[in-house]
Formats: sequence, C-alpha cells, structure tokens
Amino acid sequence: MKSHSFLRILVKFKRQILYNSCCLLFVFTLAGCSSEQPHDKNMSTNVQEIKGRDYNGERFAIYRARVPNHWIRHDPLPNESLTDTTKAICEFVINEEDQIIRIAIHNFSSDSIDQRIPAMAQVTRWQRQFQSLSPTDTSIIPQVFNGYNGLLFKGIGRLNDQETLVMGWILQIAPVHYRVFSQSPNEQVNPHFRESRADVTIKAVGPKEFMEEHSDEIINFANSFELIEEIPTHS
Amino acid sequence: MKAIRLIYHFLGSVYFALLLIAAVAIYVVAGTFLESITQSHRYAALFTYESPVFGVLLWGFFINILFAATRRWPFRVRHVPFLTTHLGLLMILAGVLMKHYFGVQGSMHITEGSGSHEIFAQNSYAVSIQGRNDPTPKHYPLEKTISGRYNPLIANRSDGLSLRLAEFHPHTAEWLSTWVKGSSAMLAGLKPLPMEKEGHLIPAGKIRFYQGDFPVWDIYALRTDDIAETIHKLYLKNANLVVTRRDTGEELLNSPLEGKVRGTIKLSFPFSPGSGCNDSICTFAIEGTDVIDMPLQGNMALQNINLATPYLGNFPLTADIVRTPLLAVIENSHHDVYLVAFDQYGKVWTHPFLKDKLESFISYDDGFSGYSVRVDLPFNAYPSGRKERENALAFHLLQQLNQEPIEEKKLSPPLQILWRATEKVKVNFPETLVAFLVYWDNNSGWLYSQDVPLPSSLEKVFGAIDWSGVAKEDLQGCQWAQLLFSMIDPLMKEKMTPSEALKQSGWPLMSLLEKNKMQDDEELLTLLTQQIFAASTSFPPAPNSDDDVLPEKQAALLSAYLRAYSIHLKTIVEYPSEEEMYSLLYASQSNLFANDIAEAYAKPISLETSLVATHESIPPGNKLEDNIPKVLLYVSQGEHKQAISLAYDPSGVGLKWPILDGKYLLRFQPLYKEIPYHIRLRQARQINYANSAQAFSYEADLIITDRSKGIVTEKTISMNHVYETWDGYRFYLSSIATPSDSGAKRIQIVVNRDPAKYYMTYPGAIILSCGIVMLFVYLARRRES
Repeated sequence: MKSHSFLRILVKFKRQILYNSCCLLFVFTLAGCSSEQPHDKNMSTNVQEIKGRDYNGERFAIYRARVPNHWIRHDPLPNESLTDTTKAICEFVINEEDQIIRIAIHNFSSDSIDQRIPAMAQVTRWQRQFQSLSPTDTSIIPQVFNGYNGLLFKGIGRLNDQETLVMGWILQIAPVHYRVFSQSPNEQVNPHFRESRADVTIKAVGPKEFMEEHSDEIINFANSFELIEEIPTHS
Repeated sequence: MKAIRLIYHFLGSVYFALLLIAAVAIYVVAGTFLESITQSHRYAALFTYESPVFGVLLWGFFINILFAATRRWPFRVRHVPFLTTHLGLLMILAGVLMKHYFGVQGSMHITEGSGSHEIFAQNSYAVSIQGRNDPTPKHYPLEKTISGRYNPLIANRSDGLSLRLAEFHPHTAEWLSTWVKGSSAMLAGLKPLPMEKEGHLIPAGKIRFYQGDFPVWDIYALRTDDIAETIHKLYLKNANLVVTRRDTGEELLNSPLEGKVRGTIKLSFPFSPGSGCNDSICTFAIEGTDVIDMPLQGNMALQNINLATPYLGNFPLTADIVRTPLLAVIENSHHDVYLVAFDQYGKVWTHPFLKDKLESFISYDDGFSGYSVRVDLPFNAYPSGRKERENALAFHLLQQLNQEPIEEKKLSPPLQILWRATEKVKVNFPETLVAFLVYWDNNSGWLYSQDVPLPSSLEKVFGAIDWSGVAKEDLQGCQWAQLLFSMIDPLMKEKMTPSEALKQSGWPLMSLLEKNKMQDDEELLTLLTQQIFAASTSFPPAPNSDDDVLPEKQAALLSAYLRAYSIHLKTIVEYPSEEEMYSLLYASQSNLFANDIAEAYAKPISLETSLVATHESIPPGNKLEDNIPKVLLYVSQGEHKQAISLAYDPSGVGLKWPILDGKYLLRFQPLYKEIPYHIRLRQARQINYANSAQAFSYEADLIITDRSKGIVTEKTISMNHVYETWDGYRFYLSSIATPSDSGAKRIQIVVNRDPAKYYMTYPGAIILSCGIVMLFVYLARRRES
C-alpha cells in the first residue's frame, strides 16, 4: 500500500523531480568547475632569514625567503669579513647524486641611487662568463615584486665545459623606496637602512636538465625573497 | 492618553507602513533618475540613501514593525508566525542601522614592499598636520554643524597651533606653478619679471651668468599660444649671420638675420607641445655658395653640414651665427611653461614644464623648507661655437689615437708610410695624422689637391715620405687615382655629379661601375678608388713629372692611398653626444681660465624657481566624484599668522605644504582611520589572457597581521576572491597601478566591515524566512479547518 502511494507521488511529481535533478546536476557541475586545485606551497618549505654584509662590525638579518627543506644552506663564517662583494652573503646547494646546483645571493650597497650598477650591466657580466652562449637560449625578463624591480636572466650555454643553465635575478629596490631609505637622517638610528636599499643578485647555476627539474622551486624561492622589515612609507 | 493611543496605533498600522513604502519608493525612483541624469552615484546617494530623511524612513520602518508586533499584546500561540516574521524584519533593520552607524568602509593604498593599517574613508575631509619633530602626522576632520556648514574651527592644539576654515569651495583646478606665478616670471635670485602679452617682444631684464668679460643675456617673459612662431621671432632678434673664408678667415658677410640677407636663410623650429623644439635647423644659401645646413640643436649643433656633396669635404666658406644670448620664459593659456635659450653662437635649447606633467622637483628638508624646480642649461663659460666644436672633434680623435701606444706593424700600409715619415723628421705621429686629415677635409676634394699648399708643419713631414717599401701595384694605384681625381675633382666642385665628371673625362671602366647599384655618389667614388687599385697592374706606368717630389704631390698620393683604405676624417671620427661634446670643449680649452675658476666655469648654467600650488575655483559639476574641493585655512600660532589654500588630495599621498616658516606641513585629504589589521603587500600582478595583453585577473599577495594578537596570515586576494577575517573585516582588491617612475606597483584595497552581519542581519533573514513559512503553513491549516 505504502509503495503504491510512493509510486503515485513519483508519477505526480515526475516533472518537478526531473527538473530539480537537472538543476542539482548543473549546480554540481559548476561547483566542480570552479573549485580550486588544492596546493600547498608551504608543505616542504620554511622561511629563513638571511644576514646582510658587515656594518660597523655587525651583521643584521635583512632578508627572508621561503626555502625548500631539502636545500643545503652555507653561511659565511661569523669571523669572515664580508666587505668584499664578490663573497656571497648566503649560498644554497641542491645536491642529488653527482649533480649540483648552487644558488648564491650577493648584495651591493650604495650611498646614492646614481651609484647603483645598471641591472643590464650585471646581465652582460653573466653573459660574458659563458664560454659559449646562444642568443636563442637567452631571455631577459623584467621583474617587479616585493618592492624590488629588476631583471631575470636565463641563459643556456657552455660553462666549465658543461651545458649549464644560469638563472639570475638582479633586484634593485624601487626608486620610491630607495628615496625613503636614503632620507633617514642618521643611519646610526636605522643601521639596516643602508643594507636594505642594497641591490641584490640571486644566481642559480647548474647542469641544464637538473636545473630544469628544480626551476619551479628556484623561481618560488626568488619570488619569496623580501626584506624582513617592511619598507617605511610617508603618510 | 487617547491621543497617545491613537498615535501608537497609527505608527503600528498598515497605513503608516504603506506611507513609508510609498516614500521609500519615491526616493528610490528619484535616486535612479538622479544617478542616470548626473552619471554620479555619489550625487544620487547624497540626496537619497545617505540623506537624513532616508535615515528617518528607516527608523520609521523599525518603529512601524515594532509597534505592529506589540499591538498584538497579549500574545497568543496563533501570533507566533506573525511575531517571528516581524522579529526577523526588526533584526535586519537593526543590522542595517548598526552598519550605518558603526560599520567600517574605506580604502587603503599600498605599494609593493610596504604596508599600512590605515584606511581612508571616501568622501571624508580632513587636514593632516605634521610638525618637524612629529614621527606621524595627525588628522583633523572637517565636521559639519547641524546647519550643514563646516565647523570653522578645525584644530586648536596644545602647542598653540590653531587652524580655522575660512572658505570651502566645492570644486577647484590645481596645478603646480614653476617659472610663472600669477603675472610674473620668477627665477631664483632675480626680481619678478612681468609677463608680456603676445606680440610684445621686449626684454624684461638682463642677466650675466659669469663674472668677467662674458656676454649679458636678455631675458624675455612672454605669454602666447603660438610658441613656435614666438621662438622664431625671438631668434631673429639681435642675431647676425657671419660668412667667412675657411682658408684665410676673411669675413665676406656680416648681416642681421632680421634684415635682408644676400641669398636665402630658412630657420626651422619644429615644435611639439610635449617636448619643445628638438630639431631646430638653419639652412643658408648665400649667393654663390652651396646650401649649408646648420643644426641648431643636438650633437651636430652649429656644424656646417654639406649635404649635397659630402664627399668633397667641408665648404670653402663657413657660416656662423653671432647673437646676443637670450633666455625666454614662455607660458601658454594652458599654463604650460617653456624655457627657451639661445647662446651667443645661436645654439637653441628648449625645455617644457607642462602643467600636468612635472618631471622632477627638489624637496628641501622633506618639504618643510619648501619645494623647487631646477634646470641646467647646456651652456657654460667656455667658448662653444662652430670653430671650437671642430677643434674639439679633432682633439677627440687625437685622444682616441693616444689611448694606446702605436705599433708600426699594426698600422695599415698608408699609415705606415706616414708613421715612417714622422719618425724621420721626429714629430708626433697622431698629431700629424689628425692635422693632415683636418686640413684635407677643409680643402675640399675627394683626394687632397696638390695645388693646395701645405702648412709648414705638414710640409716637412710630407717632404720626408718614402714610397720605397710600398708594393708596386699600390704605388701605381695611388698615382693613377691621383691623376684621375686631379681631373674630376675640379669638375665635381663645379656642381657636376661624379658620374657626369667621369663620363666627361672618358673613364673607360664606367660601364662596370654602373652595373653596381649604388646608394649615393660617395659609394660610387669609393668603388671607383678601389677599382683603380684593383686594376692598377693593368694600367701602364704613370707618367712622371717634375713635381713628383713636392710635399703637396706626396700628400695627394697619400690621400689616394688613405681613400683606398677608407681612411678620412668623416669616416673615422664619431660625433660625440652633447654631454660628451661639452666635456671635450672643456678638455680642449683647459688652459683658457685659471685653475681656481676653470671648474666653476665649466659647469652648466643652473636656474631654479620655487614650486607652488596654484588654485582656480571653478563651478562644480553634477558628477561629484570629479569635483576637487579647496579650502582656505587661517593658521595661527602666537604672533605668527598665515593663510593657505589647499586642494583636496583624494588619495592622501601628494605633497604636503609648509606653513609658519616650515614648522608644520599641511595636506587636505580624506580622513584616515586605523583598523586592527596591518596589511603588507608582497607582490601584485596582472594575469593576462593567453597570448594577449588584456587583463584576465589581478592578484595581490598579502601578509595580514592581527595587530592585537600578533597572528600573521599570508593570503592572496584577487578581483573575485575577497579575504574576510574572523571578525568581519573584508579586504577586496580594487585596482592595481602599474609601476611608472616609482618603480613599484601600488594597489588599492577596499576594506569594509559590517559589525552586525553575523548577529543581526543574517539571523534576522533566517528568522524572517522561517516566519514566512510558518505564516503559509498557519494560513493553509486555517483554510483546511
């Protein structure tokens, strides 16, 4: 008896049921299309602080970046002088079997905005380091992030008799921020200001295929590179 | 009591509800029409939704619903659906009223790398005051009184600073005035120069930029819209054209440009409002001479350029302009200002200072000591006429040759011959080479003419030239080339083209030359020279003559050899940039002034003027969003008093203006309000459609810090992805400004908070829905029963 009445209801409301089912299906389809792919950048990375160069005998942590956990970090020794700008302020190594990628971070302080070396000059210097470099395997892409602007250089060529991919970022603090850092009446009050306005280079060098495997994490690392202290603004 | 009862029943009646609904409907219709007519949402909002009357209507609804419910007292079970519905409505209305009075609505601007925890409320007005020692500015709002006018007292601070509002204009035009303020041109160090109207080319003053025997500059201050024509007229004033013989220096003509000159003179000042004049040029065609082009700007400025026959070298005549130097400040009706300067040699310089596009300015003491604009005129005390520039070019070439020690083996064969000759007579090789190349270029001809006597310094060197080490075919090539060009050079000087001259001379290999497609006559002559050298072995020995031993003949032969290797002044000298030219002029005349003043005299003329904001009240438009209000403020502190006019800065990031001798900075801006979250912008980016520059979306990576709890959250917001905190603050990415001169991207985030949303509005909506369902069920049951 009960099943009979249920069938009667089904027959009576079959159009509505069909219509509602279609609507539900449509809604689920839309929901499925709009759902974002789950991604978790933080899964295998950690935020690390990086110190600048010596200032009055001290080194301050100036920068931070999100570093993959499997990277090996090399910091200069505390008693080692870093006034020589050819020495990296920090280096990371990705080492798997015989292959190795070195990611070196340098910074270059300046007293005025005119003293800064043009970003393109740094690219030219990197290009010259290759034994041979094909122009078709070279790209220079403008970069603007985290208060910096500059260039990303990518080049594939022969370096130390090996086919090598170089990814290098030349980051210069944006002029509007540079002026703020330069306006500090006394650098003793804000000793990190001089280092904060310094140009930064991040250069990753390694065998072509190995670099290509890790290029995403290197790009993410470079894009996360920023000053620890927020850049002050004039309100 | 009866009256109160009547009022109570009326306020809770359906008639009152209908009245309110009708009033709101009229308001909504009026708002729609107003927005459509004025194209201004703010205008419509101001007179409808944001008006106090609309607020009264909302309160009326609240009272009506409340009284309608309480009229049912004492409540029965059957009242439950009705009461539930009315409770829901009351909660929604309470939510709306709470948002209106206690909600947060504003925007914040953040530049990449920096952060903020302040929002500015749209359509709010405040004056920001910052003292010299204040780390952060303080904001004083402009408050309206009940009458709708602004309260005249804005601030009365404990440090004695008082700020009063004298005038409020709803709309103004603001621009930054540079060299012209009001009716005067202002240059630092000079008294104000009255601006003359169009057509009155009278100097407003005179100025001497360097002490000593240096020319005095005329200064003009003019107002005109025909700037190109004015520049042309100014150039003609007190300017003479001087034509001299290049070899002897004899003056052939000295005539004012304004008057009648023998021949034609064409002055061209191509003018662009955005960049001024960039390619000014003077073209002369004096009787009996070729057309001479003399650029008045750029790195070739003042050079006499032989465009028609460049292969024949310089003209035998030189043309120069000698004039009274002049500086003009010209303003057009749009308040764009142009600085124009002509030095005593006729070189032109212009620089625009556009009203809406100031390139740079100087801020003294962070603005407390004011702002100024400075410009360097590319002129200094060192002579920089055509002759000095030609000498500087030769000096430049000499500098380049002296950069590295010269080794004979590395030189090309013709230069080796000259090298050996200089070694023999013990003279400097680079100096001799440059002297010969310049002398050859000045005595026109494809090759050096043996009829032109050499100066004694070169005569000695060329007398010592020894061809013994030169290959026979090369020597024969030199001899035949010299012979041929001694015939065709005079023909070319008589306006004959190289092809015509060669045909007239009966050159047998003309057909071979004509097979090549040549771009110009110079290429033909180069090919001809190479042809002679290539075919020299096929030629019979060149006839000997008595003058073979003459230094001039040796110079002519060597010039042929040099041409075979494409060595000529014009092919090896590179014209330096304008800045480099000034360095060269300084270096080549380094002994002109005493050491203690030489450096100062080499610096460019620097002009400076203060930067001030100029306001012009204009009738406000209906589109309120486009109106920029202006306030006139009276500022006082003790005995010090000052009035200052400030235009509204809607983003609150513009210049602050100093008052009371630089003790304070003021800005008229929106009212800033702190929120409990600090937002730091890491990166903002535009995401384009594939293979297109069209934006698909905008994103911003933020670090959001809860200021009270210190909790840090990293979030990416985009146009359709709003971030909301646990306590209802919503952050919506409104726009991204692309980096320009600042070099960093800037975003605008709209921040809002509805404090009653989760406690009133949403629960109210649920209760209302339940009440409606209950009403239907109750009515259905009643019908059934």
